[in-house]
Order: sequence, then structure tokens, then C-alpha cells
Amino acid sequence: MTGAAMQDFNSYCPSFDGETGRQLEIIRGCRELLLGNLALLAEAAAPTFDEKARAEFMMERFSEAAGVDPQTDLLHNAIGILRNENSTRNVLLTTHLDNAFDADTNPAISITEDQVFGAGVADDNLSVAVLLTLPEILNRLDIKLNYNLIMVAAARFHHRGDYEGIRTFVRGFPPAKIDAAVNINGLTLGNINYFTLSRIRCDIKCALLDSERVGNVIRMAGGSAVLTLNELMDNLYRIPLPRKPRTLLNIGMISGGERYSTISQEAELKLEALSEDNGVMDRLIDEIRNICIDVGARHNVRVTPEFFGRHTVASLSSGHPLVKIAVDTLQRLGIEPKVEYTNSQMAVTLAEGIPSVNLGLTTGSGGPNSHSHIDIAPLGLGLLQLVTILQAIDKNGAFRP
Amino acid sequence: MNEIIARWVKERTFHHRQFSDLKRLVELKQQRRLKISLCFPTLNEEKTIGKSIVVMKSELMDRYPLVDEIAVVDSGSTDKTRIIAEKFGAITFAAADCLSATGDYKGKGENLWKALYLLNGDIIVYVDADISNIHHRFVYGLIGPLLEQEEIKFVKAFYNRPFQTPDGVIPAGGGRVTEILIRPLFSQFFPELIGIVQPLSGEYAGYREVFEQIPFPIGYGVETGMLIDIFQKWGLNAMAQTNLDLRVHRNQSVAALGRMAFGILQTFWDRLRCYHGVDHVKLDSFILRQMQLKDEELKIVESEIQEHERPPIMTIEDYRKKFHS
Repeated sequence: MTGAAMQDFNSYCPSFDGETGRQLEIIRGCRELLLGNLALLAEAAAPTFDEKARAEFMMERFSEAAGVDPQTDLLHNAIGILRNENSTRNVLLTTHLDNAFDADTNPAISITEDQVFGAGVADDNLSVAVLLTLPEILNRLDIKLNYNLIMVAAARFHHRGDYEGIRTFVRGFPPAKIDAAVNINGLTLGNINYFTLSRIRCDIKCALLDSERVGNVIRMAGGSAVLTLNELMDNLYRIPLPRKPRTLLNIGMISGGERYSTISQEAELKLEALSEDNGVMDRLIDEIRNICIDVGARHNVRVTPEFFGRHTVASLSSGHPLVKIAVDTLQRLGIEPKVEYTNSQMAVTLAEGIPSVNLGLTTGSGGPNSHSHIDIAPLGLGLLQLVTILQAIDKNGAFRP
Repeated sequence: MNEIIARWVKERTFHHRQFSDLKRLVELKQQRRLKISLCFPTLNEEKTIGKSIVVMKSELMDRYPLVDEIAVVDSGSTDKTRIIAEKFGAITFAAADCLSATGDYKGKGENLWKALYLLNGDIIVYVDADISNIHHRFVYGLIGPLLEQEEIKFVKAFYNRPFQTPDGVIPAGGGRVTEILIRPLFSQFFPELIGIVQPLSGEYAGYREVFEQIPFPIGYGVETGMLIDIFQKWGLNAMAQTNLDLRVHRNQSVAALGRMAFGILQTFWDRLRCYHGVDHVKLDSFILRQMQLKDEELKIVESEIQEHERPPIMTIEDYRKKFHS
């Protein structure tokens, strides 16, 4: 497939000769099963920290699938194991179970001729639906993997969940080790990720000191949590960041104030910083902490930073067999691989020393609203990519030594 | 009377959860050598039809072979309803192209009537295509009673519609037209049918042998007429209802409900003539007049609503040739 053709998956349904063509046709024949799973799991809301209903749906589905051993845990990770009794090797296939929006968001999806619309459909309900459908796809393809495939839809990924589900699973998986991991995302087909950046997240709260909270508006005119927050943002964006190693600080969310007519008592910002270097990130964390102390003191406001979600730089080399398998597979299917960093769940498995890649499944656009969508046509290729990589993964030394 | 209704409610009211063992339903269907058809009557439903077809095909054909065919019978959609339905595995029909020698009317009832000719099932399941939270329980919840109890010939859906009142929340009830029009009329003339929670719900299933022997109003009156006719011919014991939990669909304006009530009333007067010998109700007009305040001026808005009615399809020769020759 040419680069130009890649721009428009909808109008491009490639055909292949031989075994690849046969597999693609069988996979396309599973379209309704996949979309049916996607529609039904979307109805089971799964805001972060409240994934129980969706995990139960997953367990029910896994228990109905031939050869799948369903399991769950206290965090409501949804786990389905396709065992190969003759192997002690374990490959992890992961995505996250939760959505970054609350249960009040309309979960219903809408299926048009070429696309599926709905909050969370692209990130990453589609991937969860793929876990549910994969056993049947492998069955129809008559593929028996030479290892135990451990499918995990992990809870507590978003927000303050901070990857707790996958972290808990990986660290607690007894007794055998995990030999390799593939993480899947709804978006974007063609992406191959095998390195992660150093990352930190931080919530900074500004709150008027108790002594400043009494009195009328005029007397309080000097202090304001919102004004302090503004000063804080100015200072944060004045931190000099190196272009090499590349480093980024992003204030993603702010909130604060209570009414038009009152001096704001509390305000908050949420930021994320990324860097190619762990040392740079350490220094940046110190700098943020110092700014909070300084701005708080000057405004007589309590400024409290809370750091969480620290990831360290981790990667495979581009010559690692797992990366080569993924790149070769995409190229054979006519898809130009696009290599980027990711902070998907792969950050956890890589940090644990497990060879890991992250793959996209189709095209579309993400987001927690009804405009979020996935394109249906590329899904066949996306799934063929996944199946091909899973078949090849136990060969060529892709496993952890 | 209350005892009869209460006993029927107790014995003939189900919950979809009672039938969630789809493997068992498939076994029952196969034991009884039945075919089951699912019909979506449509008119411009491109926003919801894709999901409806996908969910039913994946759950009730691919995973469990409970349904043998899924069809869309369309009233002439100008959007992509038929294209989408076909893409995801439904058979689609233009109602106008079927039994054209018998004429062509526009309306849901027309599509349901023609579906009897177009589909091959011994059991026909009708489901509206505008349900945004569609789930396969909407179908297996209706099929279940038919397969499990042979004396049941027709099953009607009802839903949880929590309704806030000054005295608290009533957990289930009908819609506005049901509570204001249908229930008072049933109470006076067909009190045995009072136990049916939502007589106007658009989802029901029954045996072909039942549907082929009753007339089908082509418009708003199809559900009301069907209930009364089945009750009169087969009795209350052949009817059942299933709670399908929550249904999310488009809400209609009061003016639209007025037009619905006007159509239903025509069907109702007709059934009074048929079953109660009331022959002095003569309709002077098929024009509904509604008052509308526009630009501070009251205007009369007229709608012509005439409930045509299709005869029992058994009276159609082409149908008899296809199914009874």
C-alpha cells in the first residue's frame, strides 16, 4: 500500500493472495462479532475506579468463549487466558478497561456505513472488544498459539488510577514470568511504539490560608486562589526546558473559584511533564516544587503539589526481534510503520523488563464525546496485523531471555 | 374481573433474565423444528439501524443460532437505512415492491403485514429500529415464553419507565397515550387487557399462525388492533408480556401524540363495531384539528389521518400459495 493510499483507509480494502488473503477474509467475516462486542461493552459503564460492571461483562464473555480461562482480581482487571498446555511461555496482550469519563456520559454507540461513533469507542473500547473477539478469530483461523496468551483488560488506567491495574497484574502474576507483551490501542493503525519517555503528573492545589478566609470582599482583595494559580502557571511556563533531550511541560486542566461575587478560596491545576531523560525530569520536579513554595509564600496562599504517575525512560532497540516482527508485519501488509513514543500500559511492562510493543488497530479520532469515532474498513488489516504478530512472536527470539 | 387479570399478570408476565440461557432456547427451537425471523420496520433510521443489526446478528445468529433471518422492511427511506442494514447482514425489502397488486400504503403496520409474506419464520419478532440502547434481550426476551410454553402464542414487551408523581415514583407504567387513552378505553370495553403494562410498545413476537389470521391497521392503530384481535380469537391465556428493562428512544411531542391518539381511536371504534356490536359510531371526518399558537395568533393545524387496514394476509392468494399450498 502506498503512503497516499494510507491516507484514506475507508476507500481502500486491500486484497492479498494465498494464506494472507484467506486470513483477511475470515477476519472480515468476524466484523459483526467484533462490533457487537463493542456495542454491548459500551453499555457497561467503566469510569476509572468503577470498572466492576464492565469487568463482569468481560468475565461472562470470556467464560462463554471456547478454551478461555476467565479470571479477575480485586481491582476488577478482566483476564482471559488462552492456554497451551504444552508450553510454559506466557505472552501478555493488554489494553485498559476504563474510560476517562464518568457514568453520566451517554455510552451508546452509533454504527454508520463506514464508522462507529461514541464516547470512548476509539480509546480504547475497541481494543477491549478485540480481546473479547480474538479467541473466536483464532478459532476460525484454526490458529493454536505456541504459548499461553494472557489477555488483560486492566482497570484504573486513567487519571489517578495511574496504571494501577496493569502494574498490579504484572507484579503479581504468579508463578511464571511474562515473556513478551503486546499492548493494543484503538488508534492508530500503523503506529509501532517500543519506547516510553520519562513522565510525571502533578496536581497543584492553591488554597487561601484559614486566616485569609474571613472578612468582606474588599478586605480580602489582596489574596485569591485563582490569581495565585495564574501566577503559578506563568512561573511554570518560564522554566527553561532543554530541546535536547526533548522535554515538555503541559498544563492540561485548571479549575477554581466558587462564585462571581466571592474571592476564590481554592483553585487547582493538573500538569504532565515528559522528557527523554530521567535526570532532566528529576531536576524539573525539584523546580516545580520550588516554584510552589515561592509563589505560595508571596501570595500568602497554601500551594500544595502532589506528584504521581512517575515513569522512567524505557525502550527496546529498533533491532529487537519483537520490533522487527512488528515492522516486518506492517510492511508486508502494505502499511508504512510510524514509530513514536507512547505512554500506554506498555510503559509498565517495559519498565519491568518485558519486551513490549504497542500497536494501533484502525483510524479515527479519540475523545470522551459522541464525535469520537473509529473507521470500520481498516479494522480487518488491524486485526490481521495483530494475529500475524501473535503467530510470529514465539519465533526469532522475541521473548525475554 | 380483577382476579382474572391478577392471575394472568402472575402467570403470563416474565422478565428477560428468565430467558438469558440462549443455548437452551436454541435447543428448544431445534427440538420443535421452528424457524425464527426478526423484522425491523423502518423509515429513515440510519442513526440506529446499524447497531440494531450488528447486535442481533452477532448475538443471535453468529454466537447462538436462535434467529434464522434478520430483515428490514422499509417504507421508502431517503437516508442510508437500507444500505447500512444490508452491509451488516440484514435482508432488506422495500415494502412498496411487495404484493404490489394489493396496493401500497405508507405506515408501520403495512411493513409488518408485508413482512409476513417476505419472511419465512414460524415465529416472527417485530422490533422498532429507533432504540438507541438496543440489546439482544429485546428479542430473546420475547422469544423465550413462546418456546418454553406452547400455549403462549403472542408476547408483548414492556419496559421500566420510572414515573415521578407527587406520591413518589411509580416503577412502571405506560406512556402518555396509554394512560390517557388506551387504559380508559380498555377499562370500559376490554377490561381483560388491563394487565398489559404497555399495550403500545413496538416490540412483540408471535406465531405466524396468529399474525396471518388478523387484520393489520397500517398506521398508529396496529398495536391496539392486534391486541384486541388476538385476545378475541385466542383468549388471554395465549398472550404474555416480558419486562425488557430500560428502553431509550425518541420522545414525541404532544401534537404527535395527538395524531397517534386520533389514529388509534379509529381502530378502536372499528373493534367496537366488530366485537361489541356498536354500529352507531360513524366518523364524519378523518381530519384532526389541533390549535397552535404562532406569532401570538391561534391557528388551526389540520392533519388528515385515515387508518387503512390490511385484511388478514391469509386472504391474499399469493400468500396462501407461498405458505399453505
